[in-house]
Amino acid sequence: MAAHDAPRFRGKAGESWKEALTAKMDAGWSEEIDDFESQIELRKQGKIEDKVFAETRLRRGAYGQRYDAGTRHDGIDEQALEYPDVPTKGPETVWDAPGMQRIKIPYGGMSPEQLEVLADLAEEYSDGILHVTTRQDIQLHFIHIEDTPDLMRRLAAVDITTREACGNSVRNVTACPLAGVCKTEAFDVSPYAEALMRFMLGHPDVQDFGRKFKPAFSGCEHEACGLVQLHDAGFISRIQDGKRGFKVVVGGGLGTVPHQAKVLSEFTPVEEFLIEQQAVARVFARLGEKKNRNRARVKFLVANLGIDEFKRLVVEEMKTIPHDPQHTAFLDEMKQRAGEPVKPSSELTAPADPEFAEWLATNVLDQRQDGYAVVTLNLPLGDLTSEQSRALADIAREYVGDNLRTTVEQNAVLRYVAKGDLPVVHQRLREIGLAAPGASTIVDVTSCPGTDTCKLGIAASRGVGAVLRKQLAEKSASLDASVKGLHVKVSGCFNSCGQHHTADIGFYGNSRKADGRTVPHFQVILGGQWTENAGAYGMAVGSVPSKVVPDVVEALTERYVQERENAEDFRNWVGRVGKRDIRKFLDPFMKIPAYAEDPSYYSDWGDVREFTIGDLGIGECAGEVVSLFGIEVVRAESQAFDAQCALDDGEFAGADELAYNAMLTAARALVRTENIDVTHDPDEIVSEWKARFFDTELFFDKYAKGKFGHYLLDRHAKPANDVSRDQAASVVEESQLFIEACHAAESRLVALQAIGANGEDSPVQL
Amino acid sequence: MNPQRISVKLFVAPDPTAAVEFEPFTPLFHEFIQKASVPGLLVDVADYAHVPNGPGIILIGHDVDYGIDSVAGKAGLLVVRKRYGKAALAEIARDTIARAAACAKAIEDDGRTGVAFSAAAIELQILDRLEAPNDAESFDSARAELEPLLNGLFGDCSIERTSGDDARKPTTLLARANGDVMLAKLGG
Repeated sequence: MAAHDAPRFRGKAGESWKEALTAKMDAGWSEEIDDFESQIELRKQGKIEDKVFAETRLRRGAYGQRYDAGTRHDGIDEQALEYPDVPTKGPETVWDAPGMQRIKIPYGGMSPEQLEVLADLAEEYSDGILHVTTRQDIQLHFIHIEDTPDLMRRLAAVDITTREACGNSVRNVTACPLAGVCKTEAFDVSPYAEALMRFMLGHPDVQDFGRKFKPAFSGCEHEACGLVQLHDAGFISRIQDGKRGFKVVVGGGLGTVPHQAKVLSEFTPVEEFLIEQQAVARVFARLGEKKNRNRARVKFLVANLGIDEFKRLVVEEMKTIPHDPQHTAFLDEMKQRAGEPVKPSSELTAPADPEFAEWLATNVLDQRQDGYAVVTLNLPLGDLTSEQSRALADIAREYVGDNLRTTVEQNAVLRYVAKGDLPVVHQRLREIGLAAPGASTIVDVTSCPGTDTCKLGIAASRGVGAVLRKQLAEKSASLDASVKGLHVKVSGCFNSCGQHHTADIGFYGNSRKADGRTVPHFQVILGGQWTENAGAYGMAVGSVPSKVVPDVVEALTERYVQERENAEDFRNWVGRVGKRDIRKFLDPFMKIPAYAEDPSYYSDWGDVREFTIGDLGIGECAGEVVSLFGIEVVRAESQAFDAQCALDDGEFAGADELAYNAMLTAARALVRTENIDVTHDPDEIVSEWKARFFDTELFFDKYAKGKFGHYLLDRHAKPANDVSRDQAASVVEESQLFIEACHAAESRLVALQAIGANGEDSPVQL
Repeated sequence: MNPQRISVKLFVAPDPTAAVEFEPFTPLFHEFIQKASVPGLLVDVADYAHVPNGPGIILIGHDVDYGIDSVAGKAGLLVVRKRYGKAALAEIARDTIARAAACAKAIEDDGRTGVAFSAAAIELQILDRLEAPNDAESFDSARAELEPLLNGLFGDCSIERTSGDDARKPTTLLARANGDVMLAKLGG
């Protein structure tokens, strides 16, 4: 049926979306959405608690968004957003404040009709933009909570659910966007990703997790593919003795403390992979941390138990699971959404158009199937409009049918494009602004939402991402080939939604005090590995002001080109040169001019407001250029850096000790703002710091609460005896985050003192 | 007709197909929030300048969004009215047109963007596919409801359907004035 004849566009007079669509969707999904709508009504009447409602909406993918506490700093002052007086939709979350709706797109697979519905929803409920995430979801922003039930119904009518798009359950199942057409895969993982999604969705065994659980599938071990090494559970297709199965890994994750996944099974036959995952889910639900959500991901459970014990528990658990035909039923029912091509294969007779040639070189990949190619749409920061989406659906319908997928690089791909059609497809994409070259190159910067819309964002990852993309695209023609292939990824905070650990050059947002104000910064992470399914993570080399990030990228890439030996890749160059040398190289970029000299450093990219709210009345202290804390915490940063170097050199015990000392030094710097006489004795430092900052919650982040403080308390209470690489890497990462938290705590203290000095007694939003 | 959301677009003058520089709109819209320069509960500024033919820079509000956009290659001020409550199309349209005129005037008065708007035509979209699917019936119904309002604002104006027969698109009307119209009149 052609899209414009589709009945979903026609309602009877006075009909609601519920009445129009209930018969068109899965009965269970329909009932769930009706229940959710009832809960919205009950919450409005005050009949259910806001915490309960928050958990309910999150499990439906309806998130909060920045400024939803009802206040916003407008660049001059903190202002109340005067929403109508109705109940909250969660603790400190105003009912009418705009929110974000995450929409699960299993393995990124979409039909043209599904894309059209997403376009409708973006236009009618959001701001006309579909945002592709690093986990192949689509997100719509600025959504009102009361619009979500109809939005969900319209999605359900085209077989899309938002259930468990958030909350402590199984999130979107991701997969390599080339699955089924890749030349190096063992087999197409798409139907298995679909099977896992269907099996786990709403399953009783995935409802009692302490945290979220993210699965991913790859067809190849050595490509970037599905990035399984950074996932809670990963599946790499393998064929053994003629039978299909998976190498299964567990316990990977990025977040504040990145972990590489461990091998659970070298080969799990496809007939057993669902029951094995059910067993994993049960073990995680039973033994995973529940109280401390900062230690509740399965990566911590695997690290604590050791992979061998975790494996033993999974094997034992499998024996207790009753027979369920669903474990294997999918093998009979297996249908590939990646259907047949709609056009016969053909070969390209390349026109001499240089624009086409450039696009062909970077955005088109030969398929395993002769005469077909995969076309990548290099979406700027993962964004496309409703208008573009409809036009893209037309192109997909005409040239590739259902073979449309989103990617973890925030792009989209058209698969099964007959090669002879490439020129016309390029032309059609060009007409709608979707033919930008440079897909999967340094131009194709990945960025999480950051301070644009995320409540947790510290710095403007999209702002800096947009600037980098523009700057690099302008220079693209003159960039060395070795630079063109690099990956740049930006996160707005340490939570790694931009997957900065996997990039050659990664950044995450933080801040520093200077001249009595707060300056947006980005921590520079170098040498991550994109291939081998994100086989190794980059390490921090220092924090630079947001405004110099483009200069830093330019300087690093120029130096790499100059010093590169024997086709050395960026990761190996970083390793050879060493982090100490690179840190020294970056030192000049770390200098912050005084506000009077260059105020641009004190606001972020794409946001003209002065960066911080922590500088209220700070001009009173302008005589103090650098605080005592500022001087002393530098030493902690040096120790943390040395710890990273020791880790690189394989000195795991030394790295652990240095990282611990870095935390002690930072804690002592904070304590000395109140007790100048504290000694260097670790017990005294920890005791003083705990009493003054942790127990009082002055150290607590608004959202992370005491998470970063536990890093010091845990390491102090339990020094490791025989330090493994993973343990050392964790403590090193934690020390960096603890120091960041000390910076943030000091900023809050300064703000409190300034308000006190002004004689104000109103509570301060910490 | 009681649509849940509509938009009104005033086109950039003199040539809406000429490129508009989005960058100055970011500080301007932040300033609009600081000074409450335009009607509505204003929340934040969203920057989509990187999206070709996209929504540009949007001043996001609770009940209204103001965006300087270049969708379909025509630059203009796109004002989206939302959360109005149950009301007739003409009532929502009157309110939205007035807000568009107020914002256009504020942008022109500020002067730093160098952008001016024409009041000789407006594009009105009904962003409610259940209430107003894009077909002749919806257009006829919308035109009948809007004609008194639009004739009052524009004189004897022409109203045409510009969304074609693609049922996926929102029902879209273009109203053209019969002569010169001042922005201030739309605000009245």
